[in-house]
Amino acid sequence: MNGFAIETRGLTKIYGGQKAVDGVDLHVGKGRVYGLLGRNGAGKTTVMKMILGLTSITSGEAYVFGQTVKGHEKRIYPRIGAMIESPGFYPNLTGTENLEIFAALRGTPCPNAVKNALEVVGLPYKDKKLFGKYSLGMKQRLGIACAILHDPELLILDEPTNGLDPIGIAEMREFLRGLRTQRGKTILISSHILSEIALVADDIGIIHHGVLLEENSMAALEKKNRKYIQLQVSDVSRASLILERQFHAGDYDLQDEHSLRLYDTALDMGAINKALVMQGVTVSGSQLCNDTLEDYFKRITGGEGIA
Amino acid sequence: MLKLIHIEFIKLRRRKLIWLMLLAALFMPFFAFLYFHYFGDTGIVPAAFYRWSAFGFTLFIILPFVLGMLCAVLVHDENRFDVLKQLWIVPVSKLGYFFSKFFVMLIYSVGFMLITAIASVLFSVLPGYVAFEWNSIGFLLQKCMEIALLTALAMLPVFAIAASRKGYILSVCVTLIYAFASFFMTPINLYLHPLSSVSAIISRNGDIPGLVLPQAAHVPMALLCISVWGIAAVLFAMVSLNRGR
Repeated sequence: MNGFAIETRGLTKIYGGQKAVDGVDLHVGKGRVYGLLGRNGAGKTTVMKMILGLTSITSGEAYVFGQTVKGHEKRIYPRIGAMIESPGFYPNLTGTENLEIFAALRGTPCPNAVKNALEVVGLPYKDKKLFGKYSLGMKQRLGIACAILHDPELLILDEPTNGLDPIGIAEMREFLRGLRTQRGKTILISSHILSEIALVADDIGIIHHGVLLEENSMAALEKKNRKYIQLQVSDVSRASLILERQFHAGDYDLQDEHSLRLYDTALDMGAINKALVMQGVTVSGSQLCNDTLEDYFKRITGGEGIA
Repeated sequence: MLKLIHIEFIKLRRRKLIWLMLLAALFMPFFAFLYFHYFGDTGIVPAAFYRWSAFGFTLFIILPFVLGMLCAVLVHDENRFDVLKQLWIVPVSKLGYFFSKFFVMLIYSVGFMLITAIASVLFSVLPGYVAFEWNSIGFLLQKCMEIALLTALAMLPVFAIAASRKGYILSVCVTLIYAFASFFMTPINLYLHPLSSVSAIISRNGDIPGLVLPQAAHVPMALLCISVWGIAAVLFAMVSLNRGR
């Protein structure tokens, strides 16, 4: 438990007889960026809410910095910055006024905390625009500013790039990376966008229908992605026969009537092409391919994949 | 707690409804002015004028309704705009959250009754219906402050329902039912409904002409009624705020 900023054991949430989260064992290492990946409704937000104590846990345990949140709120919450679902603020106040409220409630020691937090997310300080008039992207930025206002050790961000434009997404990515590399923060970030998580996370957890299907480091996941030779042929059954008899290849998949994936990439592609053509199988395409993360996720989520 | 109360007032910035509701404090003083103007009376006993302008419908209907609306306003937006989850992870205690809002309601109630008192004096003394006397003004102010403090306490049950976050409409409906229930229950029993008990305390000395109570005013019983409802309301609010998580 010592190396983890967050650890959950068999975390389960049942809403009205339906399991929203089912026995999730999550491990967020200190100083790491953990990407919780899943489709909409997979249970990401519920997991985060349970970790933060914002919703009750049906069974299982959630530890933050080695302690359960319940009963240790005053010790743990000041070390966490969070943005769950849509950022909630007072619409009749400006962004600065909203942050000043939270700074006062938290007793933020730095006098320029509000100004600094707004600068980090690219929002103007002492602007007259009311929160109710903010665009979705601005609201999202203000939510993140509120989360980092008190310089927490751990950030829990639920879909932080929702509503941001592509430049904003890139800025957010850089910002999160900077927080980890320069300031050693631990970040738990959820998203349904694979590419977004893949670019920023050190570790990934894939949640699907409330079940954590896989938890691994990004590096290990990338290793798992298999290379293969994609063959487009006139007759896959004859081609497979030739591969088995002549090249002793058993590790292949028939994709459809005309395409085949050969996972033994050590085989000589030229020799394969030549043998197929010689035996009357037309080869219209052959190339070395890499399974993408998306393909991998599709495979482990039973074909549904990530958005 | 002072910090929380201060923050509650910051949250009310640019809320025009809060200021507009204060105009209701002028309604009964103005109505009393029209009433006595219609009859053309002068040299009225100050307490008789103030009974109309501050101790009658203001106590039973107007102030409870305004405070009920304020309860809904204080709680509704935080719920609607999903601010509560941000507050809980600060963390803000449930009790602190509840009582900071209650104190805002209390201060608002005092402000409302002060306006009523000032308007009562202006509408009675300036047209010459009531002679200017420091004693009667002191009496009016004392009663108004009593009404302000006790009515805010008596509104705790309504506030607890508002804090349970069942919606704006329910809060307003409960306020109306609560206020009218007191209006109808006062002639039956003074110690069942907190607002009826407030009227018993206000008229304990029998110094408000025309305000006849069905029972003798028994202040400890009235305070007990307000306290029991108040404690039950706080417990209910704590349970519903915790359940909301």
